[in-house]
Amino acid sequence: MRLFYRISLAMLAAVLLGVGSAALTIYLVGMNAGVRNGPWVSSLDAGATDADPYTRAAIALVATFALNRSETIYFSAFEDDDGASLQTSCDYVLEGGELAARWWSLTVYAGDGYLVPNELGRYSYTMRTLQRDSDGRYQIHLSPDPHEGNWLPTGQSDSFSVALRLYNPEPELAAHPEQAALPSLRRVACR
Amino acid sequence: MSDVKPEKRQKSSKRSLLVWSAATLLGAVLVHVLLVYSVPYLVMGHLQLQTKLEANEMHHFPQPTSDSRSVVRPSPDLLYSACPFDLSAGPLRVTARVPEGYFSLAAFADNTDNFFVLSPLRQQQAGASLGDNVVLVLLREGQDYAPREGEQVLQSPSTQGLVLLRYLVEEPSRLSELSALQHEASCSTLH
Repeated sequence: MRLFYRISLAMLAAVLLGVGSAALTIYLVGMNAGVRNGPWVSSLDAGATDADPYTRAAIALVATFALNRSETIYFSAFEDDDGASLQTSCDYVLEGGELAARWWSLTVYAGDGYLVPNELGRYSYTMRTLQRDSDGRYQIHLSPDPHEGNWLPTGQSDSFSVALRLYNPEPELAAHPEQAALPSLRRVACR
Repeated sequence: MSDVKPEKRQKSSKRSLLVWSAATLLGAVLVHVLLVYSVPYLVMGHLQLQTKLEANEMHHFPQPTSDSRSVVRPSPDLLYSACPFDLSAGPLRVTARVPEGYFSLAAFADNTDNFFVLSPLRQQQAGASLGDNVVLVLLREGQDYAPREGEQVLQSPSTQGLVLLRYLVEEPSRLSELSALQHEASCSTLH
């Protein structure tokens, strides 16, 4: 009987250790795999079939069915320009200009990775729908409270993130995403 | 055990602990490796269970909203059409009409690997301009098919997988036109 308990304990320990270490490694690889550009992170290997098993696992989980970077480049921001994580208790301003791609968009996601429920059904801005200054630049307010001008609701969950999608990026941008002039993400005020 | 000297009992229990620890560690490594390699397949399987989409049929979706909670980080500016495929009954023919703006047809294996992308705008494909038909035939290993004119034949690394179409809503005022074009896409098994 003691042998049975010992085997069961060993198997349980093996499973817990194995699952725990796998999850941790996938998380660490996923968090560090991408190209960094200010507050933005992009995965170079999204869509590639020759990535290592940890990267593939990470991509399958958080960027399911993403296309490769010559087709679409995905950047995500989970932090502001200072490196503090994006919180719905704070207000932010996304500020930027034109980007070297045929088409691009900025989308807010709730902490759970889905679109933020809001009365207006407003989830994103595209290069066409943004209100611009006379010099072609734009500011987008990110806040749970409405704002004049460009505003994206960030909702009620604790944290949120922003996705920047570039479709058919120029070859230069696709080759060097870390050098692209991406929007800044400035924290303005916190409650 | 009462006739074994105390030192011998200590030594043998230390050795026993070593053996058990080594076995547990080995088991943990096995679990770790198996899990990491399985994650992409599990993601695919989980999605199939969640969405319950009929295989070898094209399913059309309107722009995602905060109610869209099957795949994380969906783009609210895209019309998605999905054809989960199962090639066990025969090759799959996929047809789609090319719209004016950004459009892509991507095929994913059963481990979410993206093994094919057709993107007319970027690839400047002859004949793939607005209103044209794109016809793709998917084969698994061992299947044969003689393509008709205009058809592209593609080998799938797995019997099951997903074909995903993306239509970018570049002009919100022309959404109904784009949606009509989207709904002309189809997929079916060739017997």
